[in-house]
Amino acid sequence: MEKDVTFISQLTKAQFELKVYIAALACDLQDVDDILQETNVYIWRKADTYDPSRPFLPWAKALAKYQVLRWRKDLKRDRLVLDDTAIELLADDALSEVDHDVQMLALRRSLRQLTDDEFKLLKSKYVARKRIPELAREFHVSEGAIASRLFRIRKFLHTSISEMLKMLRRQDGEQ
Amino acid sequence: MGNNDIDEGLVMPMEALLDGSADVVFRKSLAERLSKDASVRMDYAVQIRMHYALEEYFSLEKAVGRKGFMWLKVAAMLVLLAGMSVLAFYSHRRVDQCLYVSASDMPSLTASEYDMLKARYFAEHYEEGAFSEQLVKYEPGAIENPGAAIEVLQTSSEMAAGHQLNEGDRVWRQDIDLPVGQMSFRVGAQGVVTVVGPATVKLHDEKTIEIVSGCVYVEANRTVSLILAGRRLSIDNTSVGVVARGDGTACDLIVTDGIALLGDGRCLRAQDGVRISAKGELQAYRSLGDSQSLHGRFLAGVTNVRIERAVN
Repeated sequence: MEKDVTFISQLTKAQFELKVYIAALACDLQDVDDILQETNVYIWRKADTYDPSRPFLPWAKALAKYQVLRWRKDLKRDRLVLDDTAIELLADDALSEVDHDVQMLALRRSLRQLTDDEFKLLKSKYVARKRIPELAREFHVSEGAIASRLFRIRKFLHTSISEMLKMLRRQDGEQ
Repeated sequence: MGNNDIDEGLVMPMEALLDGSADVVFRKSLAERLSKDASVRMDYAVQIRMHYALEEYFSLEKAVGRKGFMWLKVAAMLVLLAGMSVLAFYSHRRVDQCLYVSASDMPSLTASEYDMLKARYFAEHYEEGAFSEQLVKYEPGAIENPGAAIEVLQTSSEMAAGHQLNEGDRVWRQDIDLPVGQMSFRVGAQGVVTVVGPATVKLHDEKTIEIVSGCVYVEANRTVSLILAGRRLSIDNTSVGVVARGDGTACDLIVTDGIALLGDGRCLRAQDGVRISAKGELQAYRSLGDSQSLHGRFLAGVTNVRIERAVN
Protein backbone atom coordinates (compact mmCIF):
# COMPACT_ATOMS: atom_id res chain seq x y z
CA MET A 1 0.00 0.00 0.00
CA GLU A 2 2.71 2.44 1.03
CA LYS A 3 4.53 1.48 -2.14
CA ASP A 4 1.49 2.39 -4.22
CA VAL A 5 1.23 5.83 -2.64
CA THR A 6 4.91 6.53 -3.25
CA PHE A 7 4.72 5.21 -6.78
CA ILE A 8 1.73 7.38 -7.69
CA SER A 9 3.41 10.38 -6.15
CA GLN A 10 6.55 9.76 -8.23
CA LEU A 11 4.53 9.23 -11.38
CA THR A 12 2.56 12.42 -10.77
CA LYS A 13 5.74 14.42 -10.15
CA ALA A 14 7.33 13.01 -13.29
CA GLN A 15 4.53 14.17 -15.61
CA PHE A 16 6.26 17.34 -16.79
CA GLU A 17 9.60 15.63 -17.44
CA LEU A 18 7.93 12.79 -19.27
CA LYS A 19 6.01 15.22 -21.45
CA VAL A 20 9.17 17.13 -22.37
CA TYR A 21 11.03 13.90 -23.03
CA ILE A 22 8.27 12.44 -25.19
CA ALA A 23 7.91 15.66 -27.20
CA ALA A 24 11.65 15.76 -27.88
CA LEU A 25 11.77 12.14 -28.98
CA ALA A 26 8.63 12.30 -31.07
CA CYS A 27 9.63 15.60 -32.71
CA ASP A 28 5.91 16.16 -33.03
CA LEU A 29 3.88 18.01 -30.43
CA GLN A 30 0.48 17.06 -31.79
CA ASP A 31 0.40 13.57 -30.31
CA VAL A 32 2.37 14.21 -27.13
CA ASP A 33 -0.62 14.08 -24.78
CA ASP A 34 -1.81 10.80 -26.27
CA ILE A 35 1.62 9.23 -25.99
CA LEU A 36 1.92 10.50 -22.44
CA GLN A 37 -1.41 8.91 -21.54
CA GLU A 38 -0.29 5.61 -23.00
CA THR A 39 3.03 5.92 -21.21
CA ASN A 40 1.28 6.49 -17.87
CA VAL A 41 -0.78 3.38 -18.32
CA TYR A 42 2.27 1.39 -19.40
CA ILE A 43 4.25 2.62 -16.39
CA TRP A 44 1.37 1.71 -14.11
CA ARG A 45 1.22 -1.79 -15.55
CA LYS A 46 4.97 -2.18 -15.14
CA ALA A 47 4.94 -0.84 -11.57
CA ASP A 48 5.91 -4.21 -10.14
CA THR A 49 9.16 -4.18 -12.10
CA TYR A 50 10.29 -0.87 -10.63
CA ASP A 51 13.10 -1.11 -8.11
CA PRO A 52 12.45 1.65 -5.53
CA SER A 53 16.14 1.78 -4.62
CA ARG A 54 16.84 3.26 -8.06
CA PRO A 55 15.81 6.70 -9.37
CA PHE A 56 12.28 6.75 -10.78
CA LEU A 57 12.69 9.16 -13.70
CA PRO A 58 15.28 7.26 -15.78
CA TRP A 59 13.20 4.10 -15.41
CA ALA A 60 10.01 5.94 -16.43
CA LYS A 61 11.80 7.57 -19.38
CA ALA A 62 12.92 4.17 -20.65
CA LEU A 63 9.27 3.10 -20.72
CA ALA A 64 8.28 6.40 -22.35
CA LYS A 65 10.85 5.83 -25.05
CA TYR A 66 9.34 2.44 -25.78
CA GLN A 67 5.93 4.10 -26.21
CA VAL A 68 7.38 6.70 -28.57
CA LEU A 69 8.98 3.98 -30.67
CA ARG A 70 5.63 2.14 -30.76
CA TRP A 71 3.91 5.36 -31.84
CA ARG A 72 6.51 5.80 -34.59
CA LYS A 73 5.80 2.32 -35.88
CA ASP A 74 2.09 3.16 -36.27
CA LEU A 75 2.75 6.49 -37.92
CA LYS A 76 2.60 7.35 -41.58
CA ARG A 77 6.11 7.62 -42.99
CA ASP A 78 5.70 11.25 -44.07
CA ARG A 79 5.32 12.37 -40.48
CA LEU A 80 8.49 10.69 -39.33
CA VAL A 81 11.46 12.99 -39.29
CA LEU A 82 13.93 11.78 -36.71
CA ASP A 83 15.58 8.46 -37.37
CA ASP A 84 16.38 6.10 -34.52
CA THR A 85 20.03 7.18 -34.41
CA ALA A 86 19.05 10.82 -33.89
CA ILE A 87 16.72 9.75 -31.08
CA GLU A 88 19.61 7.97 -29.37
CA LEU A 89 21.69 11.13 -29.61
CA LEU A 90 19.19 13.45 -27.94
CA ALA A 91 20.82 14.53 -24.73
CA ASP A 92 19.11 14.96 -21.39
CA ASP A 93 18.83 18.52 -20.21
CA ALA A 94 20.48 19.06 -16.81
CA LEU A 95 17.25 20.65 -15.58
CA SER A 96 15.46 17.32 -15.86
CA GLU A 97 17.04 16.37 -12.53
CA VAL A 98 15.59 19.42 -10.79
CA ASP A 99 12.27 19.34 -8.96
CA HIS A 100 9.57 20.77 -11.22
CA ASP A 101 8.19 23.19 -8.61
CA VAL A 102 11.67 24.60 -8.11
CA GLN A 103 12.04 25.05 -11.88
CA MET A 104 8.73 26.91 -12.03
CA LEU A 105 9.73 29.16 -9.15
CA ALA A 106 13.00 29.95 -10.90
CA LEU A 107 11.09 30.61 -14.11
CA ARG A 108 8.87 33.15 -12.36
CA ARG A 109 11.97 34.95 -11.12
CA SER A 110 13.65 34.82 -14.51
CA LEU A 111 10.60 36.27 -16.24
CA ARG A 112 11.07 39.41 -14.18
CA GLN A 113 14.31 40.02 -16.02
CA LEU A 114 12.56 40.35 -19.36
CA THR A 115 11.68 43.70 -20.85
CA ASP A 116 8.00 44.67 -21.06
CA ASP A 117 8.06 44.03 -24.80
CA GLU A 118 9.50 40.58 -24.38
CA PHE A 119 6.94 39.71 -21.73
CA LYS A 120 4.18 41.07 -23.93
CA LEU A 121 5.38 38.83 -26.74
CA LEU A 122 5.26 35.78 -24.48
CA LYS A 123 1.75 36.68 -23.38
CA SER A 124 0.60 37.00 -26.97
CA LYS A 125 2.14 33.64 -27.73
CA TYR A 126 1.10 31.66 -24.64
CA VAL A 127 -2.04 33.38 -23.37
CA ALA A 128 -3.61 34.68 -26.59
CA ARG A 129 -2.11 31.65 -28.40
CA LYS A 130 -1.23 33.62 -31.49
CA ARG A 131 0.85 31.99 -34.19
CA ILE A 132 3.93 33.45 -35.84
CA PRO A 133 2.18 35.35 -38.68
CA GLU A 134 -0.23 37.04 -36.25
CA LEU A 135 2.61 37.88 -33.87
CA ALA A 136 4.62 39.36 -36.72
CA ARG A 137 1.71 41.65 -37.61
CA GLU A 138 1.15 42.64 -33.98
CA PHE A 139 4.79 43.52 -33.39
CA HIS A 140 5.40 44.97 -36.87
CA VAL A 141 8.37 42.76 -37.69
CA SER A 142 9.02 39.85 -40.01
CA GLU A 143 8.00 36.31 -39.13
CA GLY A 144 11.64 35.32 -38.97
CA ALA A 145 12.39 38.12 -36.50
CA ILE A 146 9.51 37.09 -34.24
CA ALA A 147 10.54 33.43 -34.30
CA SER A 148 14.10 34.46 -33.52
CA ARG A 149 12.97 36.62 -30.58
CA LEU A 150 10.92 33.80 -29.10
CA PHE A 151 13.81 31.39 -29.56
CA ARG A 152 16.22 33.74 -27.81
CA ILE A 153 13.81 34.49 -24.97
CA ARG A 154 13.32 30.80 -24.24
CA LYS A 155 17.06 30.21 -24.41
CA PHE A 156 17.72 33.15 -22.12
CA LEU A 157 15.14 31.92 -19.60
CA HIS A 158 16.71 28.48 -19.61
CA THR A 159 20.17 29.90 -18.98
CA SER A 160 18.84 32.17 -16.26
CA ILE A 161 17.04 29.28 -14.51
CA SER A 162 20.13 27.08 -14.74
CA GLU A 163 22.35 29.80 -13.29
CA MET A 164 19.88 30.56 -10.52
CA LEU A 165 19.77 26.89 -9.54
CA LYS A 166 23.57 26.62 -9.65
CA MET A 167 23.80 29.60 -7.34
CA LEU A 168 21.28 28.09 -4.93
CA ARG A 169 23.27 24.85 -4.91
CA ARG A 170 26.45 26.78 -4.16
CA GLN A 171 24.72 28.60 -1.30
CA ASP A 172 23.43 25.29 0.05
CA GLY A 173 26.96 23.92 -0.11
CA GLU A 174 28.39 26.89 1.79
CA GLN A 175 25.87 26.58 4.64
CA MET B 1 19.25 39.62 -23.21
CA GLY B 2 22.54 38.51 -24.67
CA ASN B 3 22.85 37.87 -28.35
CA ASN B 4 23.70 34.20 -27.81
CA ASP B 5 24.82 32.51 -30.97
CA ILE B 6 21.98 30.49 -32.33
CA ASP B 7 21.55 28.51 -35.49
CA GLU B 8 19.18 30.80 -37.41
CA GLY B 9 18.27 27.90 -39.66
CA LEU B 10 16.82 26.11 -36.65
CA VAL B 11 14.60 28.99 -35.56
CA MET B 12 11.69 28.83 -38.01
CA PRO B 13 11.34 25.02 -38.12
CA MET B 14 11.50 24.95 -34.33
CA GLU B 15 8.83 27.61 -33.97
CA ALA B 16 6.62 25.83 -36.48
CA LEU B 17 7.03 22.61 -34.54
CA LEU B 18 6.04 24.32 -31.29
CA ASP B 19 2.93 25.97 -32.65
CA GLY B 20 1.86 22.89 -34.59
CA SER B 21 2.21 24.40 -38.04
CA ALA B 22 5.33 22.53 -39.18
CA ASP B 23 5.00 21.05 -42.64
CA VAL B 24 7.15 18.28 -44.10
CA VAL B 25 9.78 20.73 -45.35
CA PHE B 26 10.22 22.34 -41.94
CA ARG B 27 10.24 19.00 -40.18
CA LYS B 28 12.88 17.56 -42.48
CA SER B 29 15.02 20.66 -42.18
CA LEU B 30 14.79 20.36 -38.40
CA ALA B 31 15.68 16.67 -38.47
CA GLU B 32 18.66 17.34 -40.70
CA ARG B 33 20.08 19.89 -38.30
CA LEU B 34 19.43 17.70 -35.29
CA SER B 35 21.29 14.77 -36.74
CA LYS B 36 24.37 16.86 -37.51
CA ASP B 37 25.11 18.99 -34.51
CA ALA B 38 25.10 18.27 -30.76
CA SER B 39 24.66 21.94 -29.84
CA VAL B 40 21.57 22.08 -32.06
CA ARG B 41 20.19 19.03 -30.28
CA MET B 42 20.74 20.76 -26.97
CA ASP B 43 18.98 23.92 -28.22
CA TYR B 44 16.12 21.78 -29.46
CA ALA B 45 15.69 20.11 -26.04
CA VAL B 46 15.89 23.50 -24.29
CA GLN B 47 13.25 25.04 -26.57
CA ILE B 48 10.81 22.19 -25.95
CA ARG B 49 11.34 22.31 -22.19
CA MET B 50 10.87 26.06 -21.99
CA HIS B 51 7.88 25.95 -24.31
CA TYR B 52 6.02 23.59 -21.96
CA ALA B 53 7.23 25.46 -18.86
CA LEU B 54 5.90 28.73 -20.30
CA GLU B 55 2.61 27.10 -21.25
CA GLU B 56 2.22 25.92 -17.70
CA TYR B 57 3.29 29.24 -16.21
CA PHE B 58 0.86 31.27 -18.29
CA SER B 59 -2.04 28.92 -17.78
CA LEU B 60 -1.68 29.50 -14.04
CA GLU B 61 -0.78 33.16 -14.36
CA LYS B 62 -3.87 33.77 -16.45
CA ALA B 63 -6.03 32.86 -13.50
CA VAL B 64 -4.10 34.76 -10.87
CA GLY B 65 -2.15 37.61 -12.46
CA ARG B 66 1.55 38.26 -13.01
CA LYS B 67 2.61 40.46 -10.16
CA GLY B 68 3.07 38.83 -6.79
CA PHE B 69 1.83 35.61 -8.29
CA MET B 70 2.48 33.35 -5.32
CA TRP B 71 1.65 35.88 -2.63
CA LEU B 72 -1.47 36.94 -4.40
CA LYS B 73 -2.48 33.33 -4.68
CA VAL B 74 -1.90 32.68 -0.97
CA ALA B 75 -3.53 35.96 0.02
CA ALA B 76 -6.52 35.32 -2.20
CA MET B 77 -6.93 31.88 -0.70
CA LEU B 78 -6.74 33.24 2.86
CA VAL B 79 -9.26 35.97 2.08
CA LEU B 80 -11.47 33.40 0.44
CA LEU B 81 -11.26 31.02 3.40
CA ALA B 82 -11.75 33.80 5.93
CA GLY B 83 -14.71 35.13 4.00
CA MET B 84 -16.26 31.72 3.74
CA SER B 85 -15.80 31.07 7.45
CA VAL B 86 -17.45 34.34 8.36
CA LEU B 87 -20.29 33.67 5.99
CA ALA B 88 -20.67 30.14 7.23
CA PHE B 89 -20.88 31.08 10.86
CA TYR B 90 -22.64 34.40 10.83
CA SER B 91 -24.89 34.25 7.88
CA HIS B 92 -26.85 31.81 5.83
CA ARG B 93 -26.15 33.77 2.66
CA ARG B 94 -24.08 31.88 0.16
CA VAL B 95 -21.43 33.30 -2.14
CA ASP B 96 -21.29 31.56 -5.51
CA GLN B 97 -17.82 29.97 -5.65
CA CYS B 98 -17.24 29.36 -9.30
CA LEU B 99 -14.33 27.26 -10.53
CA TYR B 100 -13.29 27.96 -14.12
CA VAL B 101 -12.08 25.13 -16.30
CA SER B 102 -11.26 24.85 -19.97
CA ALA B 103 -12.73 22.41 -22.43
CA SER B 104 -10.33 19.49 -22.75
CA ASP B 105 -8.74 18.16 -25.90
CA MET B 106 -9.53 14.76 -24.56
CA PRO B 107 -12.67 13.54 -26.32
CA SER B 108 -15.79 13.17 -24.24
CA LEU B 109 -15.83 10.00 -22.25
CA THR B 110 -18.18 7.18 -22.96
CA ALA B 111 -20.52 6.03 -20.24
CA SER B 112 -18.76 2.69 -19.96
CA GLU B 113 -15.38 4.37 -19.56
CA TYR B 114 -16.70 6.48 -16.77
CA ASP B 115 -18.25 3.49 -15.06
CA MET B 116 -14.84 1.96 -15.06
CA LEU B 117 -13.15 4.96 -13.52
CA LYS B 118 -10.74 3.38 -11.14
CA ALA B 119 -7.24 3.51 -9.82
CA ARG B 120 -5.82 0.20 -8.84
CA TYR B 121 -8.98 -1.71 -8.18
CA PHE B 122 -12.50 -1.77 -9.47
CA ALA B 123 -15.24 -0.90 -7.08
CA GLU B 124 -16.23 -3.55 -4.70
CA HIS B 125 -19.91 -4.19 -4.95
CA TYR B 126 -21.86 -2.97 -2.05
CA GLU B 127 -25.50 -3.63 -1.52
CA GLU B 128 -27.71 -0.62 -1.93
CA GLY B 129 -29.32 -0.23 1.46
CA ALA B 130 -31.93 1.96 3.00
CA PHE B 131 -30.88 4.89 5.12
CA SER B 132 -33.25 4.44 7.99
CA GLU B 133 -30.82 3.49 10.71
CA GLN B 134 -30.55 5.91 13.58
CA LEU B 135 -27.37 7.73 14.52
CA VAL B 136 -25.40 5.70 17.03
CA LYS B 137 -23.25 7.60 19.47
CA TYR B 138 -20.05 5.65 19.85
CA GLU B 139 -19.17 4.46 23.30
CA PRO B 140 -16.52 1.80 23.81
CA GLY B 141 -18.29 -1.48 23.42
CA ALA B 142 -21.56 0.08 22.24
CA ILE B 143 -20.94 -0.90 18.64
CA GLU B 144 -19.98 -4.44 17.91
CA ASN B 145 -17.43 -3.46 15.26
CA PRO B 146 -16.76 0.28 15.53
CA GLY B 147 -13.99 0.07 12.94
CA ALA B 148 -16.55 -0.48 10.21
CA ALA B 149 -18.44 2.74 10.90
CA ILE B 150 -17.83 6.17 9.48
CA GLU B 151 -16.16 8.38 12.04
CA VAL B 152 -16.60 12.14 12.26
CA LEU B 153 -13.11 13.63 12.41
CA GLN B 154 -13.85 17.34 12.48
CA THR B 155 -16.87 19.51 12.31
CA SER B 156 -17.70 23.18 12.24
CA SER B 157 -21.27 22.64 11.20
CA GLU B 158 -24.68 23.40 12.60
CA MET B 159 -27.12 20.65 11.89
CA ALA B 160 -30.83 20.39 12.54
CA ALA B 161 -31.82 19.95 16.19
CA GLY B 162 -31.39 16.38 17.32
CA HIS B 163 -29.16 15.53 14.38
CA GLN B 164 -25.98 17.28 15.41
CA LEU B 165 -22.87 15.20 14.87
CA ASN B 166 -19.71 15.86 16.81
CA GLU B 167 -16.09 14.85 16.58
CA GLY B 168 -15.62 11.22 17.51
CA ASP B 169 -19.18 10.22 16.63
CA ARG B 170 -19.45 7.10 14.55
CA VAL B 171 -22.35 6.68 12.24
CA TRP B 172 -23.67 3.92 10.01
CA ARG B 173 -25.98 4.40 7.08
CA GLN B 174 -27.46 7.83 7.30
CA ASP B 175 -28.53 10.86 5.30
CA ILE B 176 -26.60 13.93 6.34
CA ASP B 177 -27.89 17.38 5.58
CA LEU B 178 -25.28 20.03 6.31
CA PRO B 179 -26.73 23.55 5.95
CA VAL B 180 -23.46 25.39 6.72
CA GLY B 181 -19.91 24.73 7.84
CA GLN B 182 -17.73 21.72 7.21
CA MET B 183 -17.62 18.14 8.35
CA SER B 184 -14.88 15.58 7.77
CA PHE B 185 -15.40 11.83 7.97
CA ARG B 186 -12.96 9.00 7.96
CA VAL B 187 -14.04 6.46 5.38
CA GLY B 188 -12.51 3.12 4.62
CA ALA B 189 -9.12 2.56 6.19
CA GLN B 190 -7.45 5.88 5.43
CA GLY B 191 -9.72 8.02 3.31
CA VAL B 192 -11.04 11.37 4.42
CA VAL B 193 -14.16 12.98 3.01
CA THR B 194 -14.83 16.64 3.72
CA VAL B 195 -18.34 17.91 3.11
CA VAL B 196 -18.78 21.67 2.75
CA GLY B 197 -22.27 22.96 3.51
CA PRO B 198 -24.81 23.47 2.15
CA ALA B 199 -24.58 19.84 1.11
CA THR B 200 -26.45 16.58 1.35
CA VAL B 201 -24.71 13.23 1.38
CA LYS B 202 -25.84 9.70 2.01
CA LEU B 203 -23.55 7.36 3.85
CA HIS B 204 -24.16 3.93 2.37
CA ASP B 205 -21.55 2.06 4.35
CA GLU B 206 -18.08 2.57 5.74
CA LYS B 207 -16.56 3.04 2.28
CA THR B 208 -19.41 4.34 0.13
CA ILE B 209 -20.78 7.85 -0.02
CA GLU B 210 -23.46 9.21 -2.29
CA ILE B 211 -23.16 12.91 -2.99
CA VAL B 212 -26.62 14.33 -3.55
CA SER B 213 -25.79 18.03 -3.56
CA GLY B 214 -23.03 20.42 -2.61
CA CYS B 215 -19.25 20.36 -2.59
CA VAL B 216 -17.34 17.37 -1.30
CA TYR B 217 -13.59 16.78 -1.24
CA VAL B 218 -12.36 13.19 -1.08
CA GLU B 219 -8.83 12.15 -0.22
CA ALA B 220 -8.78 8.42 -0.88
CA ASN B 221 -5.63 6.86 0.45
CA ARG B 222 -7.32 3.55 -0.20
CA THR B 223 -10.40 2.67 -2.14
CA VAL B 224 -13.44 4.88 -1.61
CA SER B 225 -16.67 4.34 -3.50
CA LEU B 226 -18.67 7.33 -4.61
CA ILE B 227 -22.15 7.48 -6.05
CA LEU B 228 -22.65 10.50 -8.28
CA ALA B 229 -25.79 11.14 -10.30
CA GLY B 230 -26.76 7.51 -9.85
CA ARG B 231 -23.39 6.22 -11.07
CA ARG B 232 -21.04 4.31 -8.87
CA LEU B 233 -17.31 4.74 -9.18
CA SER B 234 -14.31 3.85 -7.16
CA ILE B 235 -11.23 5.94 -6.55
CA ASP B 236 -8.01 4.77 -5.04
CA ASN B 237 -4.96 6.72 -3.94
CA THR B 238 -6.43 9.77 -5.60
CA SER B 239 -7.93 13.01 -4.33
CA VAL B 240 -10.97 14.40 -6.07
CA GLY B 241 -13.35 17.28 -5.61
CA VAL B 242 -17.01 16.81 -6.44
CA VAL B 243 -19.68 19.43 -7.01
CA ALA B 244 -23.25 18.17 -7.28
CA ARG B 245 -26.00 20.62 -8.18
CA GLY B 246 -28.73 18.79 -6.29
CA ASP B 247 -31.33 19.63 -8.93
CA GLY B 248 -30.08 16.74 -11.03
CA THR B 249 -28.74 18.96 -13.84
CA ALA B 250 -25.08 18.02 -13.63
CA CYS B 251 -22.36 16.78 -11.38
CA ASP B 252 -18.62 17.56 -11.69
CA LEU B 253 -15.62 15.55 -10.56
CA ILE B 254 -12.09 16.96 -10.72
CA VAL B 255 -8.92 15.07 -9.84
CA THR B 256 -6.75 17.22 -7.59
CA ASP B 257 -3.98 14.78 -6.79
CA GLY B 258 -2.90 11.41 -8.14
CA ILE B 259 -4.01 9.61 -11.25
CA ALA B 260 -7.33 7.95 -11.91
CA LEU B 261 -7.23 5.33 -14.62
CA LEU B 262 -10.11 4.84 -17.01
CA GLY B 263 -11.19 1.48 -18.32
CA ASP B 264 -9.66 1.98 -21.75
CA GLY B 265 -6.29 2.80 -20.27
CA ARG B 266 -6.59 6.58 -20.42
CA CYS B 267 -5.91 8.57 -17.31
CA LEU B 268 -7.45 11.46 -15.51
CA ARG B 269 -4.48 13.32 -14.07
CA ALA B 270 -4.43 16.14 -11.54
CA GLN B 271 -6.57 19.03 -12.91
CA ASP B 272 -8.52 16.75 -15.26
CA GLY B 273 -12.24 16.74 -14.67
CA VAL B 274 -15.42 15.23 -15.96
CA ARG B 275 -19.00 16.49 -16.01
CA ILE B 276 -21.89 14.06 -15.82
CA SER B 277 -25.14 15.51 -17.13
CA ALA B 278 -28.57 14.48 -15.92
CA LYS B 279 -28.96 12.50 -19.13
CA GLY B 280 -25.77 10.61 -18.36
CA GLU B 281 -23.66 12.43 -20.98
CA LEU B 282 -20.06 12.83 -19.98
CA GLN B 283 -17.72 15.66 -20.84
CA ALA B 284 -14.02 15.86 -20.04
CA TYR B 285 -12.31 19.15 -19.20
CA ARG B 286 -9.22 20.54 -17.53
CA SER B 287 -8.98 22.91 -14.62
CA LEU B 288 -6.96 26.09 -14.97
CA GLY B 289 -5.78 25.99 -11.36
CA ASP B 290 -3.07 23.68 -10.03
CA SER B 291 -3.59 20.92 -7.47
CA GLN B 292 -2.90 23.13 -4.49
CA SER B 293 -5.33 25.79 -5.59
CA LEU B 294 -7.98 23.20 -6.38
CA HIS B 295 -7.58 21.66 -2.94
CA GLY B 296 -8.11 25.09 -1.34
CA ARG B 297 -11.05 25.89 -3.58
CA PHE B 298 -12.87 22.69 -2.78
CA LEU B 299 -12.33 23.07 0.94
CA ALA B 300 -13.67 26.61 0.66
CA GLY B 301 -16.80 25.25 -1.01
CA VAL B 302 -17.06 25.37 -4.78
CA THR B 303 -20.68 25.74 -5.85
CA ASN B 304 -20.28 25.88 -9.59
CA VAL B 305 -17.86 24.69 -12.26
CA ARG B 306 -17.91 26.73 -15.45
CA ILE B 307 -16.39 25.34 -18.63
CA GLU B 308 -14.75 28.02 -20.74
CA ARG B 309 -14.88 26.98 -24.37
CA ALA B 310 -11.86 28.87 -25.65
CA VAL B 311 -8.51 29.30 -23.98
CA ASN B 312 -8.00 32.73 -25.54
